[in-house]
Amino acid sequence: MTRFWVCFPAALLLTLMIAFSCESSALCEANRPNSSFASDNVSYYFASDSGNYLSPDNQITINIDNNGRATVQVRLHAKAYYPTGIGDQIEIPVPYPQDRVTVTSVSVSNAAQAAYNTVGTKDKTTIQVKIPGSPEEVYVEAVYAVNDVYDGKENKHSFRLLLSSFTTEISVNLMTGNRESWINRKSIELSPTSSEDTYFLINEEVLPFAVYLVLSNVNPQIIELSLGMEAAPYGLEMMPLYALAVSLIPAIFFLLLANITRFINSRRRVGVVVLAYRNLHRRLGRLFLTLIGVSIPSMLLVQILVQNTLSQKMLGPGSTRGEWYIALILIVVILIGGFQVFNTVFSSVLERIRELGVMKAIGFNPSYIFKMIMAESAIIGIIAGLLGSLLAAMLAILSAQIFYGLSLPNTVYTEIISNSFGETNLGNPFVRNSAIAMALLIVTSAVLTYLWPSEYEGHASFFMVLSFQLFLILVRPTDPFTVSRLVELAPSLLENILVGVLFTVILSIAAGSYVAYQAGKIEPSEAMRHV
Amino acid sequence: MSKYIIEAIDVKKNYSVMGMRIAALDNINLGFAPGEFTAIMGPSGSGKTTLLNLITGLERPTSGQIFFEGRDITDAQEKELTELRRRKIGLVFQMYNLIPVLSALENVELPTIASDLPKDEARKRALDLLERVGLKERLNNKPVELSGGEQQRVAIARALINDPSIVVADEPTGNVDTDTGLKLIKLLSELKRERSVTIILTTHDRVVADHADRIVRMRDGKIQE
Repeated sequence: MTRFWVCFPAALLLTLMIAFSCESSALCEANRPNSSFASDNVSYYFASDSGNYLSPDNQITINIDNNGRATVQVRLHAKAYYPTGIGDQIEIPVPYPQDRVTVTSVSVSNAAQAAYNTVGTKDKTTIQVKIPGSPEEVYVEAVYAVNDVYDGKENKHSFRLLLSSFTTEISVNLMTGNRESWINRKSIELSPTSSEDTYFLINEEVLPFAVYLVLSNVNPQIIELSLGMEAAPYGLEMMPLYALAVSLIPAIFFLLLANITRFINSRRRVGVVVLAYRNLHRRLGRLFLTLIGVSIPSMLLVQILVQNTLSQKMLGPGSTRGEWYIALILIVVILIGGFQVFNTVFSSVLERIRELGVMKAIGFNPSYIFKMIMAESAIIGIIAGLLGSLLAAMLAILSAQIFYGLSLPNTVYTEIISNSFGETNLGNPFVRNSAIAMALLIVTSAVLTYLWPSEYEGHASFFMVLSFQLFLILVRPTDPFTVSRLVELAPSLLENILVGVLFTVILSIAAGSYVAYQAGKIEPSEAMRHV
Repeated sequence: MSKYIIEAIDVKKNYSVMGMRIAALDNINLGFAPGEFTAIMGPSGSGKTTLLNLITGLERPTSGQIFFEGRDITDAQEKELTELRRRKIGLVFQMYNLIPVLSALENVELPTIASDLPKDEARKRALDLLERVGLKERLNNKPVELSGGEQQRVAIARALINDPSIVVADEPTGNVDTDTGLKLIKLLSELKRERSVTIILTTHDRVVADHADRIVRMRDGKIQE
């Protein structure tokens, strides 16, 4: 233990230091203009991977001249997406009668967070349209708030628009589902209003992951769009708990293994469990193969369960896999996992049939042999179940984010996917620094592991540090909403994992029981003739 | 009450191999007195091991009777036989048959788990025995880390841990060189004197058998005393 507790905090500290320096340099670089967007229409969808890199003076300025030519300047780390390429200076054709459009500038401050991912953050987004020569100033104030009311199966989210003295048409698009295909895109046409404030309550079953506004038929000379929002607090406090929790899994596994081994070796006397553990440990290579084999089915199961939990909560009912599907998976799980355990236990019994014969000859009852083999199966089940279930839950959460675009922790993965049309990430300071950080940190932990080469504690610290780093790098700071949502989902997710583990253990025990029973009945005189 | 600790009366044992009946033991009448060191000699296939298996209850005779301390164990239940081997009989095998995942000390202690000996007592006995057989320094070594002679000494210590009245050794010297074999036999006869334990061993080594109080010769399943 001591080595571990020296090793781990040291590595952790180093990790944090390097990570901090990388993040801050990424932040600095983020403030210079490095991205922009293209459009063929005056509807803009501003989106960002994460709002945390916003500085208060991020802005997009669009100049449209009398010929309907527009130039856009973007000072925004967060990216503005439109389904075409991204460049520094672009031209936008304006679909209005040219003699009537003299838009001089459109500036959007902190648009990204406002347009994307804001839903539920209770932030206020103000769109200001100013018409020069007219005494009026037009404000569109959109207040997004999540109703935290879950009435059993469906969640209702309200979306309120406050329109004041608006003279044009505005449509609000709510996007749910997959970000790439923009499924469930919903357009709501709002009629021009009088000078009175208008509230819209849009009850959506499904929480939109992005909202964008389209202004059309604009007739003013100058449009100034300003979307105001506080930049999200940045720093360690935003470190997702999720990343920490997930990164600890392999480390906890090895830590447990280290302590179990220590505990077992310190026993004054060997017993059923000790014998079983040692027998498994003696064939470590095969144990690993078996664990993989047995954990894959549990992964299948838990992946489906967690996916169901996530999509039920986030995409709404009807998005989950049916019971027949789970039943099918269960059958596959039972077949593969059961066979794996059976095969392993069976061959390990065959291999030491002589040993078992000796044990019976020197006075052990069949029930003792039975218990010993059962303990082996149970150990396989517990370890494989834990490994498989935790891994599957992790993957399911990640994939939910990637493929459903749900507001779970933003990762580099999503950025890479988002940028698949156009920009590469090589120039992205965050990614670049992350790569440097990762290289540095792997070296660090390798050195630490070398300095304290204790079998499992070395593994534990290495994996703890490595996984922590990986997730520090992959998972960016995220908004509190995401964390709270995960916290809210945690009981269901834990339940799913528990189901996976329990199921695997029961399966293992069931598969091992026949072999254990047969092993108990071994004839010692016959068994000892085996070489 | 018989004067023998183990007695075989008219014991026959047949095996059937591919439908053919093979007589492994033919009309054996043999008794072992308490505290006696008996060596059973004979070539391979003469039925030595079968005889040992029968008197330790690992196999049952085709006909005849076996008495252990005056009690007929011929038709005893499996459970009783297990109990008998656990409390009264120490077994030593040609292939040592130690449990590979356990250290020397743990191997010696192993039978005490079955016999429910308190663990402090078990530890004390095991340490004493290992010291007695000269393996005090190798307590925590696993069987693979021990030489053949050392492994057999661990096996002898294991056989004695439950304080049996009889030690049955099937070719204990069969897998070690002559010198080591002689040392093992000397150790066994010393232990026999110290603990007044009955020893039955099989061997086909004349020199080994010479250390015994009594030599029983076997050939083709018959005794040629």
